Amino acid sequence: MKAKPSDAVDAPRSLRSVLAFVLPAVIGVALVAGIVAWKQELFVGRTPIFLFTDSALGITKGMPVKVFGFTVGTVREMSIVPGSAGAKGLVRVELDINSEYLQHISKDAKARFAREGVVGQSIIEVLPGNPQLRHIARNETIAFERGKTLNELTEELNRALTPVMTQVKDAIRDLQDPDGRTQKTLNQVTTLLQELPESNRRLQSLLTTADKAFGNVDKAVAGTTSKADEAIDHLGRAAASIESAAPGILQKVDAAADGVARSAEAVRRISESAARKVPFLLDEGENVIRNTGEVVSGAKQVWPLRDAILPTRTTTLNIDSQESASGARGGALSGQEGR
Amino acid sequence: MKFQATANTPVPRWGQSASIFIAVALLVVGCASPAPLLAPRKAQAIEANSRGAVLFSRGDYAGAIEQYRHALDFERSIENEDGIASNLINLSIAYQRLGDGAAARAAVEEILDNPYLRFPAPRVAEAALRKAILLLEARDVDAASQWLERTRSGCAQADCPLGGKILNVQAQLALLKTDYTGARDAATRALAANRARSDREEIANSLRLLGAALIEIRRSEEVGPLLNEALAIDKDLALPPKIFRDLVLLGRAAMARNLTGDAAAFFRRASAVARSLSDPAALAEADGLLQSARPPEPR
Repeated sequence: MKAKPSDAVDAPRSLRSVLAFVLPAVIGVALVAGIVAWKQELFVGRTPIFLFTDSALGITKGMPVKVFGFTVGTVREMSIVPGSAGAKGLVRVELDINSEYLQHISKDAKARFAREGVVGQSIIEVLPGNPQLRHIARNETIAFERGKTLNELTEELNRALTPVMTQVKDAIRDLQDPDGRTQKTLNQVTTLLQELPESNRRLQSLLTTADKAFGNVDKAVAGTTSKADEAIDHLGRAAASIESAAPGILQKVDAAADGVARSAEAVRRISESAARKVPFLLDEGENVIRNTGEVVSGAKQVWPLRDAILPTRTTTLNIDSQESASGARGGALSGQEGR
Repeated sequence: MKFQATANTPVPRWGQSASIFIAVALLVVGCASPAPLLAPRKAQAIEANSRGAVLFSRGDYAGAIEQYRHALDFERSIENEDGIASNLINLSIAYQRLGDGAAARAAVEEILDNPYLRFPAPRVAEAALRKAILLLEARDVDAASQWLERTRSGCAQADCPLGGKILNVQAQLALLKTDYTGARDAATRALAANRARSDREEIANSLRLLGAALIEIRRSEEVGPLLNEALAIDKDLALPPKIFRDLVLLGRAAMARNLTGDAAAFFRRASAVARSLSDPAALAEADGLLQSARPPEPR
């Protein structure tokens, strides 16, 4: 069968139609795939480095590797390296590090197994090392140390506390033992306190003896000071008079001051009371005056009051043809001027 | 029906009274409705004017001036020409009573010389009359005569209320010009005009002027009834300065008739009135006349 000319024209047209339909979908899929790949950091350059450990316990594939708290890579692969003569077997761990962070990991950097918080995620933490040294390169190895597990920490703490606990037990035992050092010290202090009254009595006796001796000396001196005593006596009496009078005066002054204080307090209370009431009274008074004014104004507008009270128009004073400054002068009639 | 009212049912007396009472009450309530209110500014002007009048009647001229000034301010603020002129005339009278002639003239000149406001013609005539009176007091007879003519031209109508006053001022000007006959004629016409208007104060003024003119033309015997009538009116109106003037003229009339005893009695009464007024000028005048009325002491 011979193809018609029109069929030759339709074939490319249908291909174009199919392409026009499929191509956007393909481009869309490629775009999404690209975005996913970008999000998965497939376009980021990665550098493998290695570490060796006795055990892979706790280390898993995909475990994050962090430097300065930043995730810079993951655990990519783990494999056992068999032992040989004089050397035990090890586990080789391959870390896949983002190449741009390699500059922060120097050649002497150390990696360690760690946990974010007590119950957090397990990570490989890289301690960067000396920045003066060159940074680690592809397929090189860094040192690794496994962090202590919780059990290891507990055991360590237990070992550290054991001697302390032993000493505390000894001290308690000593306190409870009547022959112990603490009990003996307490007994000695009690005895000493009981002996204090006798010591005090002896001291008083000694002071009495000394007082008597001073009394004798005093008598000897008394004769020579009798005149001075008389003068002092006079002063004493005067002082006594003043002393006897003073309380009365002071009482009166006190009473007066009390009176003044009470008056001042009363005035203050009255003032405070007035200060509270006066504005209210003024307001009320103003209201009453305003209301009264309104009532009066209203009443003034009502017949028959309005005609009696309100002026309804401006009034002109009567013009007096004989008006004068002094009314009695009477214009031209004052004095003899009119004659 | 049992309780249905009919046309023949008599209305009780108390019912009629109640109906009348209700009707009257409604009428009163209707009358007591509020009056159409004046504009507040206008009402304030009228109130101030009214206060000024009260103070003037009590002789508190300074207080009256203050109130008239308030009223004038209110009237000016609403450009009420009649109110402005009225208060200016009141001010001129109050200033004159206080002895401030210049202020009194300035007040009326604001009406007479104002190029912007058109005051009512009667107010302009009143202002002109006031100016003539002020010039008369200042003894400026010619100027007073000119302003009196202007007043007369503004008061040409037959029922002009200023007619009797104008004639009284004319009589005074004639007295000052020693035209006693002219003064008598003017006072006589003024008396007729004022009697026609029953303006008692101006009637008394006319009687006084007529008496003064008659004394000058030596017709003192005719003066007594005139001045006694004036005195009666002035006493009735309770106008002490006018009473003083009546008594002085009565004394002068008695002096002219050589009735020195009567003259002295009138002058003493005038002196007492002047003393009660605390008017030293009037008191000096009365005492001077009293001295002249005393008979000479025997040697």
